[in-house]
Amino acid sequence: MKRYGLRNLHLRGGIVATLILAASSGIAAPVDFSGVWERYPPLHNPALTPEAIFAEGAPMPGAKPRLREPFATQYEALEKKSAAAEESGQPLADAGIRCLPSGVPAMMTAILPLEIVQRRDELLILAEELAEIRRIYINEKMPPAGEIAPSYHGYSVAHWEGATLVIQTQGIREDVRFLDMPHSADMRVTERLRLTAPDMLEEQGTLEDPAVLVAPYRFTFKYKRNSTYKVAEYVCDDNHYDVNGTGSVIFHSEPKR
Amino acid sequence: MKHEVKMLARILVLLTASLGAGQEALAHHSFAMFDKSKFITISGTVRKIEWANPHAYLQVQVPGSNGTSTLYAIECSSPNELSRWGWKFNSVKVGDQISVGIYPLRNGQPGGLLFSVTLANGTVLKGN
Repeated sequence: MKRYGLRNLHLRGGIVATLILAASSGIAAPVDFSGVWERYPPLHNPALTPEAIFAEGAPMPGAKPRLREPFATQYEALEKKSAAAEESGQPLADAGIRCLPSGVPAMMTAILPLEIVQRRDELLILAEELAEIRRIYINEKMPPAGEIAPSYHGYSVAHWEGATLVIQTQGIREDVRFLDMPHSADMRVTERLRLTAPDMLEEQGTLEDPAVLVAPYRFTFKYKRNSTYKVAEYVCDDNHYDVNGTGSVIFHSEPKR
Repeated sequence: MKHEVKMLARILVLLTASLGAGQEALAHHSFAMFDKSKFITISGTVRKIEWANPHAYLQVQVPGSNGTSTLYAIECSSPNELSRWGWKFNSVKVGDQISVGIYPLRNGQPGGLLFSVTLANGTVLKGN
């Protein structure tokens, strides 16, 4: 009995020690998002009409944003200007034509696949498109706003709520656009990442920016795991486009360099 | 037989063009500089392939009348999408005789947005 008791004690001690170690080091992540993920339902369709070929980008992931003034008027004016430019055959330049990063959260649109690398204390999201990288620090605190230099992807920290990783991002440059929406330097992005099935990933996003948005803007992206795909190199070296003084795109038959 | 293959390829392209309504394309920028109301087919010799991002390009020398020829710049989809549709980086080679279906540039310059390539052996590769 005594022997069994001792063994039992050792076992219990070992389990307790393991749990303490797991809790303190954060190794007990409830789920591993590591892998290559593609938008679901698939964005790629081999059978397209001319209308679909000429439609740019992916479908809206949420409703139309409700903006405060003067942002609402400016947003509508930009939409009209953009539509007129499209009609004239001289579209307005966007970040993509300039080979600039999409930033957060637009990067999560994932027209091309995302690779997630999960470590104990960091989640890396590596987009094929533009080779964009997001670094998300798990179980870290958000630094004070005055210490975050504005950037395309902002500063991201995350914590686990059950099997959901809740990612919070601040410090996104004001000129970084998601769905052409303006935002202030104080915008806060919250993304709730969870598996809805072993190979299905869901992101529920919320943008909070009371100075610009009437109400928080919510969106959802869904992804499916692709276990065989290897993310390709992506260097934005297509040199056939230029931007003129009015911000319109110019096509060059010959590459620029 | 070769003629039948070409005819089949054309029918496939037309069928493909008529299907799939409601799906979004994945252009990384606007294609408004091309005329979606016009669809032309041109044939010529491949002078250059740019397997580049966000979009690949083909330069095709198209013979005209009186011994002249015109170099067309043809924008394809991204290497990622082209790969999904069966392309490899070397599917089209410099010197190949190809036929391409394109939506031409609206400004009249020799160029367009690729819909499909038909190789000399009749293989059809979708381009956008």
